[in-house]
Amino acid sequence: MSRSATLAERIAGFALPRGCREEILGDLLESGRGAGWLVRESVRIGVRYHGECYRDADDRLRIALLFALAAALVWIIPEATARTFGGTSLFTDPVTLAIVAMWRAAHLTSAAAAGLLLGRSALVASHASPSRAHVALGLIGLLFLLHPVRTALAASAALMLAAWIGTLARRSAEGGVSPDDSLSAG
Amino acid sequence: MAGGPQPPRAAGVSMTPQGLGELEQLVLLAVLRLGDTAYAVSVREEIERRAQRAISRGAVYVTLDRMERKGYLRSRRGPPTAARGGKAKRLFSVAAPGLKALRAALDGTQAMLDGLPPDLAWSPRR
Repeated sequence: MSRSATLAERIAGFALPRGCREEILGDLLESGRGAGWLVRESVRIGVRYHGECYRDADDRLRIALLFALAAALVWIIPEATARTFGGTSLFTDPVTLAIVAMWRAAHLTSAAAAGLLLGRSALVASHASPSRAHVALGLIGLLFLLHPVRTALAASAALMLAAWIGTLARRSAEGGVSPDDSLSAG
Repeated sequence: MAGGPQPPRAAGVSMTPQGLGELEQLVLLAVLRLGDTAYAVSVREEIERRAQRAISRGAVYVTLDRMERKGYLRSRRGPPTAARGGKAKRLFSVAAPGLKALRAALDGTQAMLDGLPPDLAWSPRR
């Protein structure tokens, strides 16, 4: 297999849901078309799976609820810390200082909390899991609305990292892989 | 308003609260027709050939997945082949709830057609 074909297969695989990636790739390879077509068609199929998340009213409600909960975390925690902790600590021991530092970086801790919720929560059914990526994008948009660019970038990174850790924890709790079960469609 | 007697229903069939969409019916019928060789590519080709309907690959995949989730279809893996890059096929068969849902959907369509003027009424080979 040529290098471009291998690369195309990898990109195509990334666009497809985990649970049925192999079979769909096999179906596409069977047609014997070129690398460009393989990638294009995989992306089209992947997009279709992303849209499928919103087909059922129950799934839509659960996705909206997950977004609302995660958005509340991203918004409430920095608000609360700004209002409750404006002064300096009287204690200088390392533990207290660490807690204070964490409390002051509330934009990071709140984004990490939202990311963990997003990745770990079983609120969204496994077939609607690609919607977690959409929720993540919505939350990143919210972070840029709430914070300056540099802070928002750091918080976005914390959110994505925590979401990835949460996803791994959920998969391990579910006892392995289930169809379409990933933060992204890939 | 069309009155008259209620149309007969197939034995043991009750109308499900969540009916089948048109593509879902076509997919179930295609899987039934194809038997042991039903997989996404052959299902799509069968629908295009017989129903003269162009449908995207993505639509077939998500419909097959949804029907399996609902318990209307069962799937198993076929043997991997070199033409498929060593990847297995996902072969489908219709499960009992799928047959029941399909029968209910077709009965519903037939009931709506009954009593219509002859030029609108459905017949298998019109």
